[in-house]
Formats: sequence, C-alpha cells, structure tokens
Amino acid sequence: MSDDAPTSSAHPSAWYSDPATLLETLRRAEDRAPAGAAPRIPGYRDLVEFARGGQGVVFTAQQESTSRRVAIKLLTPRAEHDERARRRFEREVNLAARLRHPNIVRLYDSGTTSDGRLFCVMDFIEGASLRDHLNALALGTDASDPVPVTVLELFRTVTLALSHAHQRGVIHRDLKPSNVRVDPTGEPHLLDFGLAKAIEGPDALSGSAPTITEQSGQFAGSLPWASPEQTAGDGSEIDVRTDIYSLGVMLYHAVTGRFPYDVTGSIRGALNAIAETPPTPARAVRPSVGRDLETVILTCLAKDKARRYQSAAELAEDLRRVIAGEPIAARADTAWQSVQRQLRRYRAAVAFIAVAGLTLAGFAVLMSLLYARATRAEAAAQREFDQASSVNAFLRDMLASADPGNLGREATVREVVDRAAAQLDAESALPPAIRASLHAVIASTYGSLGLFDEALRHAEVAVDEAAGTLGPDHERTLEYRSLAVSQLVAMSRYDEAESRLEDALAAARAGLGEEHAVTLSLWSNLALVLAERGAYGEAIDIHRRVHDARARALGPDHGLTIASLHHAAIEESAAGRYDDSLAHYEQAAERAGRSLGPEHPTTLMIRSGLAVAYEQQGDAGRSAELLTELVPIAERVWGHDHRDTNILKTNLAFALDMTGDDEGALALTRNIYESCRRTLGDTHSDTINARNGLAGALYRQGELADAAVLLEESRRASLERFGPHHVRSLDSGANLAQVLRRTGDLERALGVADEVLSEARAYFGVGNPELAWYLHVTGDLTLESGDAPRAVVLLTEARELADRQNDGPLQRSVLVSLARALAATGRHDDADRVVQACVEIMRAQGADEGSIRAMQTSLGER
Amino acid sequence: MIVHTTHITLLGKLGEDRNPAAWDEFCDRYGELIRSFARRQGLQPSDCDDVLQEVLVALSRSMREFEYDPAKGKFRSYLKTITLRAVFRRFRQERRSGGQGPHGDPAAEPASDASADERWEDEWRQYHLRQAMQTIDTEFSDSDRAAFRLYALSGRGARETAETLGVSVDSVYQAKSRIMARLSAVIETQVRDEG
Repeated sequence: MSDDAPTSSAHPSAWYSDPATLLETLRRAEDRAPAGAAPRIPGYRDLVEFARGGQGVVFTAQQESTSRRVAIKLLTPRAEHDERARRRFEREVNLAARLRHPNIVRLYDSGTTSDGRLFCVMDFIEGASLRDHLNALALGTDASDPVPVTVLELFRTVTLALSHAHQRGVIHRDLKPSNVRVDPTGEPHLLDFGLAKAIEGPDALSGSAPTITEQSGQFAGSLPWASPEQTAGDGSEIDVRTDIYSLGVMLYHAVTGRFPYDVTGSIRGALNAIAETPPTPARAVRPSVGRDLETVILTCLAKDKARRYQSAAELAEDLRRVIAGEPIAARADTAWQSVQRQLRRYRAAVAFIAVAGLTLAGFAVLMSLLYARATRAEAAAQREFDQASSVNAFLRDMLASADPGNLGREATVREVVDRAAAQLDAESALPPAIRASLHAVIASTYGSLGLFDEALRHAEVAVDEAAGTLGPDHERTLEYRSLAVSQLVAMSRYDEAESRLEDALAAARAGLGEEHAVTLSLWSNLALVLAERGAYGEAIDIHRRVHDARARALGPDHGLTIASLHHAAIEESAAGRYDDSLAHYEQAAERAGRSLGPEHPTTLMIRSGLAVAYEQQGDAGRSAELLTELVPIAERVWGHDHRDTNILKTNLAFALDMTGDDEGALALTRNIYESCRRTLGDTHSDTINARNGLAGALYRQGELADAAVLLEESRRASLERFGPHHVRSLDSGANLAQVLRRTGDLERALGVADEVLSEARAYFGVGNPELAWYLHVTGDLTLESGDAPRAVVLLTEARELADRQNDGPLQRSVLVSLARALAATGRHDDADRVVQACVEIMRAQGADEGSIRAMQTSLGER
Repeated sequence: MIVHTTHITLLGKLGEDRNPAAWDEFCDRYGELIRSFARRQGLQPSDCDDVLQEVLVALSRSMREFEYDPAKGKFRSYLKTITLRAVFRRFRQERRSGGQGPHGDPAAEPASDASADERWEDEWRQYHLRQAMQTIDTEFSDSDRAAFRLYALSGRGARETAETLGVSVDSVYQAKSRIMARLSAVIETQVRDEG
C-alpha cells in the first residue's frame, strides 16, 4: 500500500485549505485531545474550557465548598512529568501559594488528576489579559498622544505586586502580557508565579534553572519578553532582575506598540537581538514618551543586570515619580541621595581619621549602614513607609553626629554608636516597631565592630519590642531573632544558638517560606553551628543551597550570595575537599573584588581564605605572598586586635612557617596569642588556637619547655571545651606528643599519639587525607620506640593519604620516615624505592641537589 | 511571527552524535504524535513511552548511518514505518511475557495495515494542527482565541459566545474567520516544509 494513499496533503484541495474539513478535523482533535477533555477534579464542578496555551488548558469551574468561581490550569502531559517533576511542581506551587497580595492571583490548590496530569487551582479573574486591555485602550495608534497615566499606574501596581513576591523569594521567570489579567475595574492581577520553574526547571537546588532556549516547549509565546540571561541558557543567572527586564519589555511594548528590537524573524535572530541589539529608544517610536519614562524603560532593559533597577521596589518608586511628575532617581536629590551624600562625607571623614592614626573600624559601620539601607530598600512595602522614613531620619542624625566637625578629632566609631544607643534608650516616644528597627540597626553595627555582647543586647531588645507588637513569628521579629542568633554564633555560644535556631527556623519556614531572606539567614547560621560541631558535609550542603537561593533572588554578586559561597569554601577546606574549596574561593574572590572592591572586609577575608587554599594545594610561597599583601590592609581596615586581622595573621604565620621563615612565623604567632588573650581571655576558642600555633612555633625553634607547657594547657582546655572528637583537641594532642618526644618522654609521647590517632580515625573517618598527619606522628614515635613493623604499616597508610592530599612537604616528611622504618625491618630495597620517590617529589618541588643529598645522607647515617 | 525551523534541519542535527537539544526538540515536536498513535493502536500509556524511545533509537541509528535525503522519500512515511514496527514489536513482547493484550481486550489488537495508515494520517494532521495552534496562540489575543474556541469548536452560538466573553457578536465572527484563514496558511507552510 502506498504511504500516500489516504491523504492528499500536497493536493490543491488539501484538508487544511477547505474550511469545513479543517474545522471538522479541529473539532475531532478537541473531542479526543488528551489536554482538552475536561478532567474530573474532586471538589470542583462545571469545568468549562476557557483558554489554551503552550503550557496547557485553562478551565473555569466552581469550587463546590465555597461556590467560588475558580480557574483550573491543567498542564499538558509530558514524558518528563515523572515523580521528581511532580514533587518540584508541588514545591513551586506551594511557594507561590503563600503569596497573598491583592494584585497576585491567588493559588488555592494543586495536585494530580486521576490520569496523572498536573493541575493548579487559582482565583478566576473576570476581565481581559493585559494585551487585550491595552489593545482596547488603542495605545500607540497616535504617536503624538501622551502615554495615559492609567497605563503607568497599572504598571506600577504590577511592579509593587512583583516586589511583594520577590521579597518572599519567588521569581516569576515568565512575565508577559498574557500573564497579567486586568479586571473590569482596571486592577491588574499577576498570574502563574513560579510556574515556569515548576514546569520546566530541573531540581531547584541543583544550580540550573529553566531558560528560554530552542528546545523549551513553551518558548514561542515567551521569547519576545525574555531577558538576555535567559537566552544565554544559563539558569543560574536568573534572578529578580530577570523579571525587571521582562517588565521593561512589557512597558516598552505597552507605550510604543512594538518590541525594543526585532524579534519577529527566526528564533536564532530573536535570541541574538535580545542578547546583543540595543533597544530602539522609545521616543524614536513615540515622541510623546517623556524623557524620564524613557530612562526608566531603558534602565529596565539594560543588557547588564548590574545596570538595571536592582529591585522591583526601586522601579515602582521611579514609576511613582514619573506619574507624579517628580524627577526620577537618576536625576533627583531625594532623601536617599542626601543620605548617600552624608555617607560619602562620612567616608571622607573616616579616611581623614585614618590618616590621623585613630580607629579604622569605621568602614564596618559604613558597611552595616549600607546593609541596613539595602534591607530597607528591599522591605519598602507601602505599609512600612512611615517606619522606614523614621529610621532614615534617625540614621541621618547619627551620621551627622559622626561628622568630625561635630565630635572633634578624638571621636571613634564606637563612641558614635554608643551615643546613638544612649539616644535611643532615652527616646520613649517612638512606637515599638520603630524602636525595634533602630535597635536592630545598632545591633548589627556593634556586631560588625566585633562588640558581640552589645550587639546581642540590642538584638534582644529588638526581638522583644517586635514580638510585643507584631508577634513572635512575624517577619520582622524573625529577622531580629536571626540577628540575635548571629551574635551568639559569633561569640561561640553554639548551644544557645542552636536551640534558638531550631524554633526560629521552624517558624520562618512555615511563615515566610523556604527561600525567604530571613529563612536563608537562619539556615546559614545553622550551617555555621553544624560546621562547628564537625558536621561539615551537612554544613556544605546547606551553604550551597543558600547560595543558590540567594543567587536567584539577589544575583550572584550580592554580598550575601558571595558570603554563602565563601562559607561553602571554608567548610569544604575543613572537610578536606581542597579542589572544591580552591575553586569556590577563587570564584568568591573574583566576585567580591569586582562588586565590593579590593579593600572591602569581605574581599579581604575571602582572599585570605584563598591564600590558605593555595597553601593547602602545596603552594606556600604564593600563599605567603598574598597574605603579606593583605595583612597591612587588614590592620588599616579592622585595627590591630580585630579577630579577622588575627585570622589573617595566623594564616600568614602558617605560610611563613611552611616556607621556612621560622623566626617570622614565631614573632607573628606570639603577637596573635597575646592579642587573643588580651581581648578574648584564656579559654576562648580563638585563644586555644593561637596557643597551639605559638606552641608549634616554639617547638620548631627548639623552645621545648615553653612549648610543652603551652600544649599541656591547650590539650586540657580543648578536651574540656570541645571533647576528644574535635580537630582542635586532636591538633593540640598531636603537637603535645611531638614535644614530649623531643623532651625525651617517649613513652608518654606514644601514649598521647595513639590516643589522638584513634580519636582522629573516629573523627575524620577511614581514608580521609587529614589522617595522614596523625599517622605520621604516631608512626614516627612507634619507630623510635622500637616497633618497626607497626611503624611501616602506619607510615604506609600515611603515605597513601598524603599522596592523595598532594601535600608536598608532608609527603616528603612521611617518605623519609617510611624509608627509615623499612630499613629498620631489613627491607632495604623497598626503602631505596621510597627514597627515590622522595627525591622525585623534591625535584618536582624545585628543591636543589644539595638538600636532596642532605636528605639522602641523613637517611644513610641512620 | 516566529518561524519554526523546518524539521529537515532538525533531522540533520539528530544525525550529529549526541545532540541532546535536537533530541529534546524532536520529542517536543513528534512525541505526542508517536505516543498518541501508539495509544490508538491499543497500547498501554507506559508502553507508548517505550515505543517513543524505540523510535528515537531507531532514528538515531539510521541517522548515523546515512544522511536523510528528503528526495528519497517522505519523512512522514519513514517515521510511520519505524513507529508501526515498534508498536508491533511491543505487542509481540507483551504476548511472549504472558501479559494481557492491550486493555486486556483481544479486539483491540492492531487491525489491518490500511486502518493503521488511516490512523497515522489522522495523527499526522493532528500534529500539524497542534504545531499551527502554537503559532495561533502567539499571534492572537486571549479573547480572540476564546471566541474561536467557544463559537467555532464548542458549537455555542455567536450570541452566547459574545455574551460569555463580553464582546460584540461581530468580533466573534471576525475572530473565527481570521483564525481559520491563518490556520490554513500556517499549515500549508508546514506541509510544504515537510519534505
């Protein structure tokens, strides 16, 4: 039978050219199309098909329990709607269902039909889509007509609704006129929040997310509204500014009737235009568009996200100004501008004080003020407007009083904050909600000065005030609870922090959603506590998740996003995942340097970590070089006794030690230990660390008696404070064993070493490269006490792990010991092979022939 | 409007080793056609996915072995041949493994080739309609499409449709004729590109 027999597709009277046949075929398709049949969904009746699109079919229906008219969106079944996709769908829909805003179409329900199709139930909005609504206004027909204010009002309302969603961690991702319905009173309603991700996205936490690409099933309708980052296919680049861009395209289209560039040709051409072609200025198409409105639109349509509005709230504010005829932010001298001018003046003052040799911690205050500003900008919902301006005024006063002209040259930032705190305590007329905000600002300022006790006190007042008026689980209260927890973590009060975290986190997840900024901050603190307890894997996991969520909501270059990446790098290093750690450090350092500047405290900390990562990869020289550059900056920015300065110095001391500069390392280590004792006391974990470091340096300098005293003290303090299964207890134990051996107490040394090794095995787990060091120490002592066969076993294991760690100096050291142990058991050939391996490693590291011969000679002498 | 790439270009891409994007696009485009055809031949939904997979494997094998030449025969009949083959193989497997026939109903066994051809042709038309409706969705307003659906397809009267949607009767008529004309033109282009 011919394949063409029943058809006539190339025939002039083809089925599609005859209206009757075409219609008949279409009706038949309707009758049996799987997506078209009205499904049975318990709880809803009278399902009538209403619209059909790329994603599926929309029915109107009645909710039986309430008789409410609802819309039910039934998704087109797809092969990839497997169990995982279903869970993702439910999760995204649940997130969107938490949104409660008069201009966001409310989601009520979601689920799976009996035949396995996904659906969600939402409010039915009478009226028209935004496109039809705008067409009805006949916009763009006469280019000389001014843009109607109602259109701008409508967009402003949409933008405020969008801001509401963004603040709750929900990004739309598929904004277009058909996703906005306008009711008969002219009010817009946003729909399908997060649905693009729910349907298309891979696992939300894997880092990638849906993008508009050629293989995407529903691209056709969305492409003209897509952003450059979506066309690039990199889902991790999608964030709130992606929605800003699409809104810009909608606004452009609404006022000009056209797209900002040509998207009518091929898909490839449209993708290129979105990525590359600058928008045709709106005024060129419609001269009646005002300059300010054009600027607003062009700001939305910047190809570079950093040059767009950074939040929907900012865009809404500028739209308000356009409507009110006020100059927009780029031109106006607004309240914010004047605060910024104050800040600039203040920055200049701090720089001046710095020259005069006074305290330099001022940058930290600036940072926290800027952070407070950002937080407020994010939370600029209408109802909070008054409160925000009160905080604003207070900050302005505080900054004004920080002007050296007012306080004189002796003023320190600490005094400025103390004054502000006293002023606030005296202020009784302020409403509790505002007092709470101000206490929180002061708390975070103290926190960034490292004055955690004061910070905690103010954070707790903020919590009490907010809980009293807003309730304990209100968004703001939870924000302050998170602030208080941060101070506890900073003070190493982990038990208290953990018990508070549990409650706050549960409340935040239930009330604000998984991806809300406050929830993420609490998660982040939990990860810090977990890491402190040694649960690195779990901590890394959380930091990565928080990073991904923040990258989506705030963008990859936001300070908080970078902080999560930084935390992940730190814990990866602690867990011995050095390659991951180095990669993340480099990424974080690059982002921080770019977005925060090279002297920003965060950039400093990250670059310091990067230096450690170099050192862990065996490049102590590079590490020392970088740290030598960083320490003077840190002393200038943070001051000499600041914890972060000490951390940097510790890292430098270690790197110097590794490069053989023992004296430099010893001097620096002593300096750190004294600074810690002076500012933190004897039992603080930082002091314990510093003590261990100093003891090590003394030991290497041959000051055995001093070293032994310090280490005995350290081991006792560590066991008491952290228990036996903690890296600090282990380190002080291993070091103590070495010092004891050098003082001649071999028996006790081996006892301690064995104890530490078994604790280390329990702590790190079998095969962890970190064990190499403990095996090495115990192996050496075992050999010296005469048990050569056991030493061979221990040192062979140490060698394998050191090789895996690719830690050159450690490898060398282990190989030398192993060669000795083998020789002691009479295995001279094996010993020679080990010596040869050691020579190769030394050559690879660039050691000169003299030191290689010295190594060989030292082995030969034994 | 946005022009869909012709499937011949797509087939060329399928021939390239491991071009997952091309395979995804192929599935998006022909997946429902193949699944739906298999379903109408009487297979269970889960088996239909297997058929789709088998068709893809067969296609990829043949694409690697020879460049598809549109002059040598219609892609449509080639696709039909391998799909039918996959459906029959599936039935044989079911019987061998002692499973029940499709829906447990012997009458639903694949009928004659002629009937399969008709079904295939019908599915092919549906496929073209689906593709064309995607274009319609991007080009016409919600209310035009709703009017078309209610009036032209669901068989409601023009007055009732106009009342339901809050538009004039005339605009209902216009929506229908404009969408019909556009549909016909779009499908004509698709068929011409079909090769």
